Amino acid sequence: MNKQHITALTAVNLRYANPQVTDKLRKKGKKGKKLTQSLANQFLFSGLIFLGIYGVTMVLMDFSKMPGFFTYYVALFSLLAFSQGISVIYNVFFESQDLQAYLSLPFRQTEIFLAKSLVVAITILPFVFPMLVVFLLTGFRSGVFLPVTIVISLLLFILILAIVFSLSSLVVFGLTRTKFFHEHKKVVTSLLLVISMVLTVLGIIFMSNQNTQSGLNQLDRVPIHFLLPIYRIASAPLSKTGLVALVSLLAFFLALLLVIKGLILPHLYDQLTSASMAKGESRRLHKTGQNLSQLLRMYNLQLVKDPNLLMQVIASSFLMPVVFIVSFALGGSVKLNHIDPHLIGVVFGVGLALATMTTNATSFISLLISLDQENFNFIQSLPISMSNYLRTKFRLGFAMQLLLSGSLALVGGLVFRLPVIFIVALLLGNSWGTYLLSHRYFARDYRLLLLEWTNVAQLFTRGAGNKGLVFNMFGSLLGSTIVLVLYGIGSMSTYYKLVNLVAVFVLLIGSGLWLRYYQKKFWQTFQ
Amino acid sequence: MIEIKQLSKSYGDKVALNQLNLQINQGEIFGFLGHNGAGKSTTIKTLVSIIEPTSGEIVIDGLDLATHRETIKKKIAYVPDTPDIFLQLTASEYWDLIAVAYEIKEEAKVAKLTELSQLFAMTAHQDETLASFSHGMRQKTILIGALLADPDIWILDEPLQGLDPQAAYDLKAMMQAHADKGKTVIFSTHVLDTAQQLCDNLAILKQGELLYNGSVDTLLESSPGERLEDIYLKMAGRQADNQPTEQTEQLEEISHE
Repeated sequence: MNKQHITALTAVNLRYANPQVTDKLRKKGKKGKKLTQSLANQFLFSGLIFLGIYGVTMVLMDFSKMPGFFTYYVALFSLLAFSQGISVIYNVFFESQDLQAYLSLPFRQTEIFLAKSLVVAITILPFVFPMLVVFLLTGFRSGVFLPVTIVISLLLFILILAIVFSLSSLVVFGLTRTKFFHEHKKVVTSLLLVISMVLTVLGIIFMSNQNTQSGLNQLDRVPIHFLLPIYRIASAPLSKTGLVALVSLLAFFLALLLVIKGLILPHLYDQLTSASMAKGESRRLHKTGQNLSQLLRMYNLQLVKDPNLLMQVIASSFLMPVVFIVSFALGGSVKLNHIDPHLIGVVFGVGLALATMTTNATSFISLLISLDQENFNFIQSLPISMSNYLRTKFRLGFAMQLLLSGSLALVGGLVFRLPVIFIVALLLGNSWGTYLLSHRYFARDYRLLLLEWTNVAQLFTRGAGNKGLVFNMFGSLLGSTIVLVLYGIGSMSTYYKLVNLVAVFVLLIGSGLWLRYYQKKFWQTFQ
Repeated sequence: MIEIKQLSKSYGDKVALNQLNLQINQGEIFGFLGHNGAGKSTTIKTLVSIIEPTSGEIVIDGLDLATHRETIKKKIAYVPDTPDIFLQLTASEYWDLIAVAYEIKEEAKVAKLTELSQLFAMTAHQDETLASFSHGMRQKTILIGALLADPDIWILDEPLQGLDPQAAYDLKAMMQAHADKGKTVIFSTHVLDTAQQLCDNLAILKQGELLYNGSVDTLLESSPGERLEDIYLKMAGRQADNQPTEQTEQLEEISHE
């Protein structure tokens, strides 16, 4: 491989990873190597911020005495990395619209894909950083010499991610090689979506149910046994068991590499060029007599029906919040079947809070306008009302968002055994929150409009980029927790009527102002 | 020299290219003519490694493309039919990428870019993104990239589309100059006048089949008094028309002689 080629390709992909930050830096006069350096620094800086945030959040847990929680976190974030890995690998190798632009140039395929994967991987890394923090804290609390802890933690982190991504690539390349894939591309992509989602969600549910307290430590969970060697590496890296475990892990990774080298690499080029031509079904039944609204609705549905897009959006806007809520907000099982009736307003508030977590920059509602690509400019030239066009889009986006967020709220309500009336309150809060936020993110999509994207993930990191996404998730979680705890305390006090009255007043005034703002600043500009 | 042997490409049941045999000599300008869907772009994309053929072989300067891809790619510069690539990059960044890909030295790159960007009136726009350019300006940016690489083989898919008359005139002159240096130029076009003006040899394709391969002069001699446009349309027929015309059969005989 040619180092200069990889550097140049990485520089290109860094610009693609966050076009808006790139534009901002260009306006500041940065170009060439300085621009690339600034973009790399952004990732480094946000990585350090994430490490700091996770560190502060987790510092109170003494993982050196909690092998159960240690293995739980490793499994949780490995599952997240696995599902993200499937999505990223499929995207980079089979859905990149710019692959053809690279193929004719005298780069090696491995150079092109390495640079692409590298940049996409660093955008995912912050979401799995908690695992690195767990390794660091475990070594530190176990009294391992600090430099050794840092080196071993980094090594373990990279090794585990490499293993997880290798497994993801085996799944992706295995499935896409089948004849079935070439004939039914959409079905196979959907299958990938289902496999990664189901495995992750089942894994989370399974682990959350394995919460029997161990005899040794009343605060710990039952460890996941096959992951205990990783705990030994982190807690006693220089011991005999630690070293044996590390060597075994390395051997396992090397074995996986050999499998990939033998089974995947020899046919990669053929597989990719033929896959990029496998278009799947291109015919559709023509429905006659549809009016404009129906035609626009059908068009918008076609935009979001792409299984790859569904896979990415659901993984980022739905799965990430689930993992974050599970890992940071819940330590064990909670049953709320005897919840105090005074807390119904708080449960409505939980619904609102859940909406702030699930409706984010990666949701359907936040992408729908940009998904038009060049069609958007063309549609403006047609004699149809832009306001109606955008409202049709908004209604579809809101409905999809409501379905996702509402399903999560419903499942949450059932899992925590909330009484029916509380589930209704939770769903109402969630629906209202989703409606309000849908306005925000729809207007944001228009404000940050990007029609020349080549990979849908570029739309996710617009604006504040990855930092914004994680801050939004943390901010929503922390802010909502504080407000809800205070509201809960108020609701349980003797002034509960007054507290609820104030809450209703704040909600109504706040919602009114919110909707008026978006009406005036966004919707009215199209009339 | 480029040898295309028994080249076929199918997408499921649809045959895009059927057993194509061609030989393109060094130093000639070779044109692909045909209606939409005739197989011109498929042939070109196969030559530049974007499409893997279903069967057949491409040999360039004695090297098999399937086994010497990296070496052969360095001999070729490609201009795609739609210039909507690398839109997030500025023109300068795009040219930097090309320079690294073709391993062009910094001084040579700067000297050549100064000359080319002046020629194509792009000097003032080199720090703007391709996304902000018109179709013609994107085309010019990619053409500059291809000229920067100064390859042995220059392959252009519908290169004149969207260019202003001055740029089109300059490009045609460059294609001729490139061939005059002993290098090969391959392009596809719908513009028959351009083909007549530039091509030493051409191939007329229809629904993946080769209808004619030979020089423009031979083709014109086959129907004295007729223009290339008339001959082409008689040969290729209307797009939905599958039946070979009498003229087609006659010309196939000539091309196989």
